[in-house]
Amino acid sequence: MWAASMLAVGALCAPVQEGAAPIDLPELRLEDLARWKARIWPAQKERAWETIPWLPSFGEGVRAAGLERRPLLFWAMNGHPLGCT
Amino acid sequence: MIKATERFTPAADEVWRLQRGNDAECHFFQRMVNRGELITDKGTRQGIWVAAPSGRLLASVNSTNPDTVLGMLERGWKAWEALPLEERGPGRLADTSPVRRWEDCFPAQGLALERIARDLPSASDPLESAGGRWNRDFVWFSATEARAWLPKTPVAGERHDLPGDLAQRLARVVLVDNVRGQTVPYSASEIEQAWVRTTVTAVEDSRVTLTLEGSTQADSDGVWTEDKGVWGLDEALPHAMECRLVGRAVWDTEAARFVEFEATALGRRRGRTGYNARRGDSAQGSLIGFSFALAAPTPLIAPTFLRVYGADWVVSPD
Repeated sequence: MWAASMLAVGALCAPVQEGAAPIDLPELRLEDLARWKARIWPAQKERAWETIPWLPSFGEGVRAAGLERRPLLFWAMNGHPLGCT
Repeated sequence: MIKATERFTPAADEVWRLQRGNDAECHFFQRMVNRGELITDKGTRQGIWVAAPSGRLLASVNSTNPDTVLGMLERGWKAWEALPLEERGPGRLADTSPVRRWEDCFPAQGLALERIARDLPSASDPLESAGGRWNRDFVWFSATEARAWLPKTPVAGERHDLPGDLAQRLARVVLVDNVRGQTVPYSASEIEQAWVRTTVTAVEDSRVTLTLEGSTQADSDGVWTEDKGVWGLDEALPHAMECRLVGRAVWDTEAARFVEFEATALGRRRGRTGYNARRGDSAQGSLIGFSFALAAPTPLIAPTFLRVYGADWVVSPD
C-alpha cells in the first residue's frame, strides 16, 4: 500500500524546471522514525535559549517586571520568537 | 549569555501586532521603543530591548552576535542601576487587562503538536548527515479534530482516513518551507494532493496505538491573494512542496487525548516566497525534514497560520 502510494506520488510530480532534475526523496520507513527524529529534532545545545524562562507576551513581561522590580528583557521578532520567526 | 539574562525579567513576543496595534499594550510598546511616541512609520522594531517596567528604554540591539547582545545587556543593567528607586516600580500597563490573543483560541482538550523543520542535504545521505538550519512552529486540532485521527470504534487492523480538511491543513499551513524565514501558506486550490491514513495496530485497555502514513503535494504560482493578515508579498514567486509522512501515535480512550505522537515528514521544496531566504537557490530545490511531537503545555504559542485554518473554533482577536 505504502509503496504503491509512493509510486502514485511520483507519477503526479510535475517537472521542477527545465534542465533541473528533481531531487529524490529519501526512503521514509516507519522503522526509522526514531532515527529521523534524532536527525531533525534540535539538539539540547541548539535549544539552550529555551532554558531562559521567557514569558510569552510583552504585557505579561511588563507586569511581571513591575512586580519583581527588575528590568524587562524583551525579545521581539516578526513571528513569535518562541514559535516560528 | 543565559547567565547574563538572570538579572532580568525575560519575555518574548511577536512584534508585528505590537508596533501597529491600537490597544494599551501596543501603545505601551510603541512609546517604549519610539522615544515616547506612537509608531507611524513601517520600519521594523524587531530586536532585543531592555526597559524599566515603567516603559523607560534602557538599551537595545538587533543582532544575533552574542558579544553584541552581551554588551547591550551590560549597558541595560548599568542604566537600570542608575535609575532612582522610585522609577523601578510598575508602570501604567499594570492597570490594564491582558488583550485577547490568538493563543486564547486553543480549544479545550485540543491537540497541540510542536513541528520542527530542518534543512537536509540533498547530495549525501540525509539520515547520516548532521546539522542544517531549523525552525519550529505549532499545529493545533480541536478535541473533535484530534479524535478524527482514528476510527469511531477502533479495532486492530482497521484503516482510517483523516478527514480531508485536516489533511489539507497539514499541506496548506504546516508542511511549508519556513526553515529559514517566514513564508506564506498554500491556498486550498494549490493543494494537488493531501491525505493521511491511520492504521490501528493495537487496542490494549484504554490505549489505541496507530501508525500514520500520508502524502502532500502543493504547487503555487506565487501570489498570496487570500487573508491579508498573512505577511506576504504581491510579487509572483512560484514555489512548491511535496512530502511523505509516517508516524506512530497512542490515543487514550479514557483521557480522550493523544498521549504519544511522533511523526516525520520528508519533503522536497523548490522556489521561494518573499521572506523565506531562498533567493539564489538552485532550481532543483532541496530537502526538508519535518518532525512532530506533542507540544509542552506551556508556553502555549499559537501556530503561525492559525488565522487561515478555516475552522469554526478559530476566532480572530482582531
